[in-house]
Formats: sequence, structure tokens, C-alpha cells
Amino acid sequence: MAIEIDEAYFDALAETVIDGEDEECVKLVNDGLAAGVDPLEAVEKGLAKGINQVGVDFGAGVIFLPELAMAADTMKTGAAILDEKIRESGSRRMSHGTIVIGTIKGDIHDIGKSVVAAVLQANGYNVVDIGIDVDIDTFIQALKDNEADVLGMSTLLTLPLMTMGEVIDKLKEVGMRDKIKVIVGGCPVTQEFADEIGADAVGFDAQDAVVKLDGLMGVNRVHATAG
Amino acid sequence: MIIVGERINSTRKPITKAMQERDSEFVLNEARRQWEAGSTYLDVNTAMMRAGEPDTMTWAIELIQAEIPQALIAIDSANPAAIEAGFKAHKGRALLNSINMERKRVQSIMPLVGEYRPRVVGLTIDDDGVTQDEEKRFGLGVQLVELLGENGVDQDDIFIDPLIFPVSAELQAGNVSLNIMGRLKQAYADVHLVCGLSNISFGLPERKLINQVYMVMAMARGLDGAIIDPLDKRLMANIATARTLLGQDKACREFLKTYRSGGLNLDPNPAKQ
Repeated sequence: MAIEIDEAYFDALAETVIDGEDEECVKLVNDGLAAGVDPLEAVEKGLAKGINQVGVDFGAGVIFLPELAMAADTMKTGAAILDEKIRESGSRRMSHGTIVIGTIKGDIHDIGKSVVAAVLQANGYNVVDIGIDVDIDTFIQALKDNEADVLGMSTLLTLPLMTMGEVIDKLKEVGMRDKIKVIVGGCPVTQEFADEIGADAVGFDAQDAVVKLDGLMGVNRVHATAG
Repeated sequence: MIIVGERINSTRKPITKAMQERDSEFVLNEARRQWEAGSTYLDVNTAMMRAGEPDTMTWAIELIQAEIPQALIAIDSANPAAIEAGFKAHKGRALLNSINMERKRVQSIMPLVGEYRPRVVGLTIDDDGVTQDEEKRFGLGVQLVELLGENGVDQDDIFIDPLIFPVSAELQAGNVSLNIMGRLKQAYADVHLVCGLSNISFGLPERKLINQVYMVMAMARGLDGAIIDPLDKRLMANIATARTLLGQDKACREFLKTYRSGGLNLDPNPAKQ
């Protein structure tokens, strides 16, 4: 039975992301496609709207990490189906820029970095999460492969901090520093340290990362505030 | 129960500042309050001082022990020079926080353990990093006990940290650490188990409540050391009560002592009691 593609449909799609309901999301996406929904519209008015709400609620402390993680998974699941269709039609999803993000070599902390990745995605960035314990060359290669605009590096440990500086040095060496903005984060990272290694910004938490990246990328919007 | 007071940690912003500015009074105040609250060791972490770590470690230990002569320090660093500076400055037997099974760490720190004979915290990490796998972390605990034993450390002077991961990210994270504790305690009755508790509650609200409940569950599996904030009165009351319930408090004396000193009175409105 074909469904009606209307505001209620897009709201329901957004709701599956907010609730982290993978199966429901996939079903709605497939039903929508069968009924002729524009996949680009389904992403922007449905999935992205949902994950944006999640990003705002997380920043405000209304929802918590497990809920954010579930929502991000649902978003990914639904977007995978729709992106396929978007590619087939030869168009592209809108994004504020592509960021390659990872936890630096010597550190395997995953969660904080993944939260930042999810929240950035929720705020319209194309995020390529290359994982943990990432060495210098892997960062550089991923930036090239994804034609990235931004490099995001994280660590919660003090020992790997200096490696962040080495990645930036390498960017200069290969002539990419001018094209790539660099944002760093993690609890031992201070503004002083970021200045010292020549990063463009520090994200002190996920929402702060959005604000700082918007600044670097020239994105104008009203930012959600906590509370 | 061995309480390691965690507050003098350079990753806390006020402590970073106090260490940078050599603010004796600030550090001493943290030391005094934690000592009076029942700490067995006062942790001193200098990691954020980077090149200044060894000097800061010496300064902090001399400062604290001059003020509270009976206080013992948990020397919390990964920097061999800072660790050695700490051992040199320390009077009495320090607790080293920490060693693990990483090759470089063992090579650089084990000789200092042999020379200065501290008690030692061992983390279940090796060159592959940390793992969620129970077998692997239990195995690393066994390796640590054996290796420290070969280097002359008595089992009673070993504290194994099974590592704790956020239950918000990994459904079984709480169970895995509890299982490792139980298995290590069964294999080595004299070895102590210690953990930094607060990771369990990362990403969730009401973190203190989660930490308190998990602490009690862990104590039932053999945990007898904790790196915590001893100024958290409710957490300390939970520990005192759990010890009594686990038969570690003869004639309930500590429990009753804590009761009489007001340590169990957690009512925000004391007039009611």
C-alpha cells in the first residue's frame, strides 16, 4: 500500500532517528521510496531534521550518550539507503564541509570522538570517522581520499598530544596546510596547547566543536545553548 | 578498604594552575581535607606539567609530607623521571600509580620498582592498547602479578586495576570488569584490586549514583581499593556500609564509629534525624 508523502511522513521519519528505531526507519525509508519520495528531501526534511534535534538535545543535557549513539546509528542506516539513490540520480547531499576525524596514535579512546562525530554529522557536516590509534600517514591519506576540508584530532591522554603537532607539521610538509582547517579536542587539550602546535581551534565539547567549526567554515546559524 | 584520594590531579584545571603557580596553600588544603576524610594514599598526578613533571612531583610530595607527616602518596605519572623524583622525595612506602604491560613502560619503570620497593598499581593494558575482552584483561592481570612477583614485589603490595568502561557505550562493560575482579581474587587471594570508578558512568546523568552502586557491586567481587574523591560523603558511607555487610568489620565497629561521627548522616536536612 502506497503511503502519502507529506509533512507527517517526514516528521515520522525524523522521529525514528530521535527514538533510535532502526527497523522502523528502514521501513519508512523503503515505503517512502516506493511511493516516490525524493531521496534528497527524505534526508534533509526527515533524517537530518531528526539528528539535528538529537544534537541540540544532547548539547542541552536533555538526552544522553546511549540515546545519541542509537540515533546516530539509525541516521546512518537510513542515510545509507537514501545516499545510494541520491548517487544513482547523480545529485549530492548538501554539507557544510567534510571532516576527517580520529583519535591520535597512542590512544584508543573511542567514545568522546564518536560523540563529536555524531554531533557534527547532526549539524550538517559530512563526517569521515577513521577510528582510534590513527597514525600520521593514515590521517594525511584519509584527508586526500575524502577531499576533506577539516582535520579533527582527539586524545584523552597526555603522551600522544605531541603527535597531533606532528600531523600538522606533516600537513605543511606535503603542502596541504592551507587547504585544511585543523580542530583538536580531548580533556588534556588547552587553547595554549592548540596555539603551540598551530591548530586552528579547540572543541572543548561536542557542541563547542560545532560552534568553532562553523566559525572556521563560515557557517552562519543560531547555535543551541545548553540549559 | 584502601582509599586513594584522587583530587590532586593535574588534569583538573584548578590543580593545573596551583601546580604551575606553586600554590602551596591550595594543594595543602586538598591534601588535608582528603586525608581527614579517610584516604589511605593521596594521589599526586603531574602529567599536565609535561617537562616540569619531575620538579612538580618533588615539590608536591615534600610539601604534603611536611604538613601531614604520616600521609603516604600515590605517585601518579607515566614519566620515569617524575616517578623517580617522587620516590626520592617520598618518606615511607609510596604507591606507584601505575605500571602496565606495555613493553616500554615495563622497561623504563620496573627497574625503579626494584630499587625503591613501592607498592604498585598494575593496569591491564599492553602494547595492543585497552581491550573490552574479559579473557585478555584477566590474562594481563595474571601477567602483571607474575612479572611484579619476579621483580620482588609481594602479592600484598600489588593492586590490579581491571579497567572500567562506560556502560553507556558497551552493554556488558560493568559485568566484564566485575568478572575479571572475581577471577583475579580467586587466583590470588592476597593481591588487591583497585579501580578508578567514575568511567563506569560516563555519558549518563546522576553519575554519582551509578558510581556508588557499582562500587558496592565491585566490593562484593573482591574490590578492596578505590581511586575516588573521599570528600564524596555518600560514596564513603556506601563503602563503610558495604564493608560491614561483607564481613570485613568486626562487631560492626567501623560502621558504628562512622555512624557516631556523623559520616552516615546523608540527610540534606540534618534537623530531621
